[in-house]
Amino acid sequence: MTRHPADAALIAAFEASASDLLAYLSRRVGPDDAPDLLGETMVVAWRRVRQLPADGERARMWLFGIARGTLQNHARGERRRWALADRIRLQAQDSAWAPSSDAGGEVRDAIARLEPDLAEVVRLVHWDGFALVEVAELLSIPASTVRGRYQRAREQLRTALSVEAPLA
Amino acid sequence: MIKDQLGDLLDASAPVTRSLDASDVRAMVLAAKVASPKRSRGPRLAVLSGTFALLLAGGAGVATATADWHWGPGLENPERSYVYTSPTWGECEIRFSGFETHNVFTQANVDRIIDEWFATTDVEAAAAPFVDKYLAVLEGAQSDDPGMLSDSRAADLNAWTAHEQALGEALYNELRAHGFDSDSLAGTGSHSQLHCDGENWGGEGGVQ
Repeated sequence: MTRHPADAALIAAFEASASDLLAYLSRRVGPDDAPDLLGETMVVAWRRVRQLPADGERARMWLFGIARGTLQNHARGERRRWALADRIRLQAQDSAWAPSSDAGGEVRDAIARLEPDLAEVVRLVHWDGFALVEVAELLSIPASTVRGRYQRAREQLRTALSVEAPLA
Repeated sequence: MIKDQLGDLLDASAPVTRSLDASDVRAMVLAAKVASPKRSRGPRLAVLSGTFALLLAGGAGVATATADWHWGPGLENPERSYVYTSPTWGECEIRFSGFETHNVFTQANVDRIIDEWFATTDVEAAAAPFVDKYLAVLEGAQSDDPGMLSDSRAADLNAWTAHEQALGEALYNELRAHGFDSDSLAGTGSHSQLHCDGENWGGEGGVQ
């Protein structure tokens, strides 16, 4: 089916980022709906495949941007059921998808108690591996806003987790 | 990101992420390609580029859609509706969101033109001259594609794409007649949603 270099590039981009995308989506809509939204992300990506950045990191950002768009369109009861998503869904049920009861639970709880905008920045930085400037791009907000949110989040988390500030 | 004790804690708190099987990802990507018929590039079609909500619910007909079918955000208005008959999915309705121009100076005018067009025009007739053209493009592009040829949904997916594109072209012509060309609508976003009486997005168990 592949006829254009961009097609192969898109397949490669998904092969590289699909797990991360699914994790990103799953954390927001749950493991049951996330595979379908991943499918939607793929459909939209195909429609825009000629816009796929050549650089791998940019391509990852691009896919996350599309995934974020599918999240925004997602609402209760609205989804396309994906046959192939069922396979992924089934695997998720069989594997340790949910966070284990490790030491990170307390931190995740603390993040969850943050204001949603702050928590989103923390998750994108520390869970999804984005730089602050990339978060700004992904969220379509100024980098200064992201930096401010990140600092506020850290201050609140430091207090919540009783982590001392490093010496200057 | 700041590397310190707190940063380390936050890094380590990431939930367990399972690696997807590469073959599953590839199969899903290719299935998505089948479900996303190529849209020809060009100024008219670029106007319509956007996120298309491919939403599925079971069995509710267009006639009862408002009661049983949930339209996505921005698609609640039944006045921006286009109806056609699909090869096997029966009567289908496309709802169009309108254009989000991101320009406070033009948004009201664009909204007014679109609303008036849907309200006063036989939109199916307006789009009809363009449908066959898009169908021909789609079918030609798929003629050597075994994946598409074997897809039982191909005819309905193509019909959807062709009608949606034809609707877009007809609407673009209307906007252009009012002075809005591709340049003036650059960056504009839109989306649409399809619902058919007998839709079957199918594949392997995907029917709902």
